[in-house]
Amino acid sequence: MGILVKNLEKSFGQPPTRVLKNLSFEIKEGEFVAITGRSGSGKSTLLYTLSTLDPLTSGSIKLDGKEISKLENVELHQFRNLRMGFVFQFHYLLPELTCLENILVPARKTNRHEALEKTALGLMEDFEITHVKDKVPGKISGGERQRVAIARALLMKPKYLFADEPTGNLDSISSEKVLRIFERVNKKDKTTILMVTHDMGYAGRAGRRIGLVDGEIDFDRKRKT
Amino acid sequence: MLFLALRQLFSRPRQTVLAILGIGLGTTAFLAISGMMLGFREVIIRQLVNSTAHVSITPHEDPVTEHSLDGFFFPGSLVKWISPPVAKDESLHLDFPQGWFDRLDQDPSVEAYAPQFSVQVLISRTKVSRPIRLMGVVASRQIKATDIQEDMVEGNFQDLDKGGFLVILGRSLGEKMGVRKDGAINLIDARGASHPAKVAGFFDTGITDIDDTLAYAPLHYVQQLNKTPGEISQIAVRLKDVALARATADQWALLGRDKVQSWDQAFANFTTVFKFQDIMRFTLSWIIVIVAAFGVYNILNMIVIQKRGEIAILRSMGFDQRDIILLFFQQGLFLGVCGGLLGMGLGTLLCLYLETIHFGGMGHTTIDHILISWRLSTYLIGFTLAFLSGVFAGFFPARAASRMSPIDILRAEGS
Repeated sequence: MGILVKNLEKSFGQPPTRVLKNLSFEIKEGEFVAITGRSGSGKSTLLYTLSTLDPLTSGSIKLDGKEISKLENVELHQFRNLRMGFVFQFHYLLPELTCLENILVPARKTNRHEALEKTALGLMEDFEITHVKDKVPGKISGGERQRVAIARALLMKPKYLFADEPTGNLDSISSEKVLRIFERVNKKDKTTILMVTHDMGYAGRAGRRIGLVDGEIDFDRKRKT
Repeated sequence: MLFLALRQLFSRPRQTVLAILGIGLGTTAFLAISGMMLGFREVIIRQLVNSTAHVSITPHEDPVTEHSLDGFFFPGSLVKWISPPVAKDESLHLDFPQGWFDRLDQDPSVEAYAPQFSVQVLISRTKVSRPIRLMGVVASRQIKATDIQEDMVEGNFQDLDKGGFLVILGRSLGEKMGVRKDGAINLIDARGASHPAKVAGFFDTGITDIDDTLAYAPLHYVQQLNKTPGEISQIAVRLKDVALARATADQWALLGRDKVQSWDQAFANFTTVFKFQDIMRFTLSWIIVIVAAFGVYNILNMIVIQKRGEIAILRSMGFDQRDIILLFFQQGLFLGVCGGLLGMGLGTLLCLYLETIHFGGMGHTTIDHILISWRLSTYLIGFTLAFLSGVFAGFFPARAASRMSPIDILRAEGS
């Protein structure tokens, strides 16, 4: 069913500063959408609001037909655990856990970490990081860390993957690997991906680009196939 | 979350060990201080209780006040004193001891009782004489109502019932008088009459005041010596449960004019000291535990600040506020429990060591080394204090962590 956004407004501070201004759009299931814009354009705020991490000021966001502002706490946490995956610019891996244990962290919420170990190993193989399975994040490269973080985000087979500048801290080779993973996951598993990036080249790899300027949609284009 | 909590703790072994040591040493100090204070107290109490009685019944002693004679001359009469009276309306013997005997025989809470009659006499031998309290007892009853038989160091207390004017002296009194068992002594009453007696043995309660100034003799001999046959000046009562001594004494005191006192009322100065000790002990222990808890609090607080980003990512993965509280609270609990267990181990070892320290006898007391109480309740309190320090030290950082908004953290980390 995807994400349906109507008249979304988000303001900060006192007096309120409007960061997102009356946005309305729809993201269909299985789409790979890049949200672009300059610094301060509101692209990260839009991602956090769509992903339920940041409450909206007014308007409506429906995720799979459910109004997210009306979700109960328990429902919201279930939603995040089972239907959403997050990848940030910084990996935020737990330094005291091995890479495999880090990937399995979301499954600990529902005590399914043992059952999902095979899935985790499968993801590691797909992302070519099996060799770091028993290493702690401090002992591996930045690119490998980000791939571990992506594997963690995908462990629960989420319907939506939210990525905030996932290549922001990576060199071009590692960034390319991350983007290929995104493309593959989107194509193979039909995972809906929303990726914030300021790099127009990487944004071009997505099936659709939404450009923001000062909290308003500047453009909303689909890639020509 | 226990898995993550333990991993976070073990990834900082030095901090974790220091926190556990802090709590452990606090608990050790509590156990050692409590062990010594309570050990000393238990011995004192045992000596006081056992050498006297759980409850003692003695003649009434009421102060004479300005209103004592109101209504004495005729109903409603008032007495106007030119100068206020300073006197006591007291008796040297119980008015109706048989009434008490009947009552005590029927009371199921009474283990045993012993009638006594005490007089002040001079004990003399050759040129040495000392004022003492001569207590007339029925030996067979006295050994049931008190632990005097266990305090005997020479002779048998029951020998007093064999016949003849026999006395049993405190060991230190015997030494001061230079007399041995079967030796002869003279007892001089208030009228100056001398009564020869034979020493049947010696006791040692460990309390110098008693051992220096008390002698036992057969009840009827003491009554005869005082020319007051049949009089009883005190009844020593042993209860089945010593803990009920005060309540029982208070209850019996309502039955008549006689003075009924429990052992702790009779030695009120000791109980005041014990209360003061308790206050000192708990104040000191709480200070130690609070200092240890601050150590844990600081460590957990630091971990929470360092782990802000990870808290945010956990929240984004569906872990709720309760999970985050558990993550840090469990760390506090773990430190508290480990510190408590370590403290109990170290505390036991320290107490075992302290018990071996001898400092020589103090006068004629039997206490010649550090006395340790091994009460289970002390260890339970020690462990609970350690546990609580972990609970409180863990709760506040955990609550702070759970209240962090993931989005605020991500924005702050991103900026």
